Amino acid sequence: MRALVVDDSRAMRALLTNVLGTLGAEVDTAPDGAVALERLRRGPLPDVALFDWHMPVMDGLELVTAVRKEPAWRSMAVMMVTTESAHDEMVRALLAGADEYLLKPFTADAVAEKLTLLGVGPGAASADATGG
Amino acid sequence: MTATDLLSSKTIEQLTCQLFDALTPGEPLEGDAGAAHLLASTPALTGRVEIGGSFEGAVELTCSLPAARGIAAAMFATTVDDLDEAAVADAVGELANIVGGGLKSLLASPTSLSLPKVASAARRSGDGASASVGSREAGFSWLREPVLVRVVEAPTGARARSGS
Repeated sequence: MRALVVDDSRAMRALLTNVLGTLGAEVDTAPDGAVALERLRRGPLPDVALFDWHMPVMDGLELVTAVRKEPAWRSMAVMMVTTESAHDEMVRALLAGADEYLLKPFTADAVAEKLTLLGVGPGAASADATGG
Repeated sequence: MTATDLLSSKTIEQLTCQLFDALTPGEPLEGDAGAAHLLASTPALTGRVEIGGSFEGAVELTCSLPAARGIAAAMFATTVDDLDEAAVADAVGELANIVGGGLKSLLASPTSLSLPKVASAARRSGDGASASVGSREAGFSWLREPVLVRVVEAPTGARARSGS
């Protein structure tokens, strides 16, 4: 699994990189949406991207909107990782094109569960292996 | 009833404990009414996020420097000795951001949350705390180091807006 973590907090990028690493992911990071778009254009395309909501330059909602306008990136799952727990905000993110929603603070188990729901977690990897 | 009446010390306590449980499982945060007193004479960092909209105010999370370094080490999955000051400040800002976001979700929409700012606690205490119309706080001890979370409600129109 290849993952892209986009968060303006160094600490949160490190935390998610560590958690995803324990789940077997190869992780790239970006501090804001604009840099994330550069990484995506450069490739390779990750299996899953985790976007913080509140970021300078380009926030997570703008980023997911931009990402979903690019047909070549449609196979990439997008998960919002944020403190925004209000129902209206979740709906906005999902309507913009996010596939899943992970609330801060999170546990490693919660991250694994969400990745499995997206079909890119450790369970998905072993299913692929089993299927040959 | 002011908005700070809705954000009780118990609510602040629950959200903050949930945060530390997720970041440092096995090293629980414990309630400590003496945290504010201890922090008054201890080098510390304060992370602050401002809330605007139906509630005008701020959430401040203050940690003693050893607590700040300890929680940063947990987030970066490294040792205290390997952390630079910017990394520690970033971690404290993110803690304030998470607690602030949790409290924001309890308020009536629309509300907005600023990006976090971090400063030394001594500097923070001179930044207009007396201008609040209401406040709630919860004190803690984490690995015997003081941690304090404070919700401050600003007088209407007094808060300088600073981003989303």
